[in-house]
Amino acid sequence: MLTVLFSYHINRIKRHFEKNRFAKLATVFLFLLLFAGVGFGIYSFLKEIFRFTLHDSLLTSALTLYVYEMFLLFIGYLVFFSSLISGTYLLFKSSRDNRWIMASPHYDIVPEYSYLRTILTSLWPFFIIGLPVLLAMKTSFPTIGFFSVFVAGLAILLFVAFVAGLALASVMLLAKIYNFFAKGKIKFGILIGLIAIFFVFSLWVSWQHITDFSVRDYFQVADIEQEVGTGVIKETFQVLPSHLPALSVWMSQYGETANSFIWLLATAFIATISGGLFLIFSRWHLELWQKLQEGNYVASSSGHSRNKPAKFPRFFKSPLGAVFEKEVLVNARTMKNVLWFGFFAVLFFLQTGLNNFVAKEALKFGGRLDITPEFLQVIQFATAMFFVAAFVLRFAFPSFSTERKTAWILASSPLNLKSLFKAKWLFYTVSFSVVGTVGAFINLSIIDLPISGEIFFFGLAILAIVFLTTLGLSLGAIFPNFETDDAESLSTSAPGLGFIFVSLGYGAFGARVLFDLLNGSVMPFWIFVSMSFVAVVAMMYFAPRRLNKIEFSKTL
Amino acid sequence: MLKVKNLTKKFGEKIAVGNIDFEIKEGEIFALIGPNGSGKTTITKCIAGLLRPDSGNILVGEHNIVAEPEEAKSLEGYIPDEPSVWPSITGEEFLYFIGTLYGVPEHEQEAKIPELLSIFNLEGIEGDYFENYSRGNKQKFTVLAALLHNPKLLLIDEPIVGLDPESAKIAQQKLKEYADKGGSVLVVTHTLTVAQNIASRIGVLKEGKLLEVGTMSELRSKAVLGEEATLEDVYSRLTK
Repeated sequence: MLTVLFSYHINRIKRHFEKNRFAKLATVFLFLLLFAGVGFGIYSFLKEIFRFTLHDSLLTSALTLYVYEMFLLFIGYLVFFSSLISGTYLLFKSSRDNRWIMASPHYDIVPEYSYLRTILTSLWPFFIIGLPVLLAMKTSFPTIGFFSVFVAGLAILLFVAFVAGLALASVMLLAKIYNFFAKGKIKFGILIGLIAIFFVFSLWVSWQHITDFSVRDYFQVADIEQEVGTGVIKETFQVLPSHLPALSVWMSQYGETANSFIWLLATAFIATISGGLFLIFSRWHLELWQKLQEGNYVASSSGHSRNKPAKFPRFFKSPLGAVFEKEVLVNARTMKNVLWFGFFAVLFFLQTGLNNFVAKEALKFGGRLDITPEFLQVIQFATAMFFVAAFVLRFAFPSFSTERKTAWILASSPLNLKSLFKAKWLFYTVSFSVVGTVGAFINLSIIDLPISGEIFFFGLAILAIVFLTTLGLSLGAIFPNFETDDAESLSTSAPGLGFIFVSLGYGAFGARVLFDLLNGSVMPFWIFVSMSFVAVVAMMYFAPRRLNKIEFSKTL
Repeated sequence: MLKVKNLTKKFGEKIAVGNIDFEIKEGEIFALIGPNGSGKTTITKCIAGLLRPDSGNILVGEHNIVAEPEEAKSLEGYIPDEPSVWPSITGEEFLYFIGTLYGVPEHEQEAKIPELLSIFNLEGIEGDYFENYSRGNKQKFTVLAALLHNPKLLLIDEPIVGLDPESAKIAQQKLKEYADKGGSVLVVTHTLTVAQNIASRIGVLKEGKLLEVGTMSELRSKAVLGEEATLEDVYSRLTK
């Protein structure tokens, strides 16, 4: 049965490539190239760190262990949260595929299938982050044998399996506890809320733990006269499961394959435990799945299933206002959107916090590290633009394509579809500007800059957010894709890729402009502002016109 | 109220409908029947402005659907065969949204929506999200939404699919009342009894061509059948 399910998905992928094969293959290739670029960036960054440690041999041991601990913890966060989201939907959301399987005698295959699929789809951080870490290690410490690297790689893979299993086991356990306290009256939305609270809580606990460790106090670069010990790092990270594969990688760095293998076995052990726990908990799956479906039947049966009907707020009386409010309601009430938004927001604020932490610590080293507030600000700007582009790509870009089944409502009404574009533009620009502004404010609150510098930073950030949002929406309107309404798949189409490249270039350009500006050169700033402004106006003019020519209904 | 002249629509090389001509007068219910893939839904979507005709003219009132889409669409009410609405919108929010979209004044919406809900006994569930409605209830809300702005022309793709027998009866009754008040209706259906019961004229489609158009008795004589022949008999004979 599992084979049937997997071959079904493989066939779906094959079918996807039947039409416009060349374009789709080229898109996949370019995406791989992009991921390889990100991986290469991580590889180069780590090689620099390793090179630095090789020059300062007193630091090597402690600093590399710290790097592995942090990278594996980061991989753990990524896999844990994405597995929580995708696992919950795979397990409990009654998709059409799921219903057929749950109605069959092989209903118990759903948890196993969800587990394997979650592990498979969680492998990307291994390829983008894990492999570059191993490669940087191998090239920086050439004496390491390939077998050691292989063991370390396996440890990371098993760690991914552990985290995916842990996430799914947590979902099942939370659902069971919720079912117990709610006496069987459980709702999917509330379950998702509980899972989100659980994630934020676990993030907070681990964050509290690692910030107890002061990087500056530990790596007193100026004062190092003897080898820096690893005791405190081990003590700090040992309660976190990422410590086991980190040790395996660290040991392999010294060619201690036997020790590395022991930590690999320890990782395999916890992976078995998390997988085993999930499989034990999956005995509850059928009951919980059925209970979660009941909410729909209760609501659809005649009678008063809600205390008070929710009313459309109707703050605006015009068609444009109505469409804007529709955007707000639909986006705010779509759990998956909210969760992804939360995920990106958490990552964004994590990096903001980390940036400020690094800035605060690094600046105290004075000239030795050659880091200035201006330089940090530019780095922060570039990172912020990267996150805004991620938000736009996931939410704004696919928003026209995802209207495919509901397009009849708007397209058969007297509404000019230009208004639809305007409403979406308003919604996404305002939302992303709020997130971006809060992030920028936190960033700036730590670094002491003159007020003029802060104003420039804010102004540039808002302008870039407006530009990126308009670009994402315009590309989505000009190249709608009605083959699927899955936002994640839509984001990985050729126009999505185009958006990524343009936004990366734009972000880098903006960062450079900010750097020049902070160093007294105003002309690039005005060129950047004028270009952005003209581009936004042009896109606002052309994209909505294209929308009016789309035959949405061909797709129904 | 509706004039369709030489309507042709292609999907790639395939001609979905070719050179279709028909008219619907005020107060008339016109049914389009035909086998799967004969082009019924394509015609309806062209009239609703969801598809762009490759050639031909569609006039809704005095307005061409291609040249003056906003004016033409404001006269229409469209009910699709698949009642897909945003899952996280409630039935009531959907009705208010449609009202605002079609420019129905707020006080009119406030007065009319409860009245419409009572047609299908939907009071009490209007605050639930669309994803929680049964198919039939979703269909009922889309029917009510189409009636909210008092359209001059109703376009209905499969009017009773998913409705329970009582609601199906009410829906047919409402369509007749609507036509009696001067409204025009285009019904596209596989349910031949519905077409026979409510339509004043019927068009028979096959492979994108309109084979015959006429009243029930005109179609009987074209099919060379007696007065007792049902639409099913006529349909079988004409599409053979």
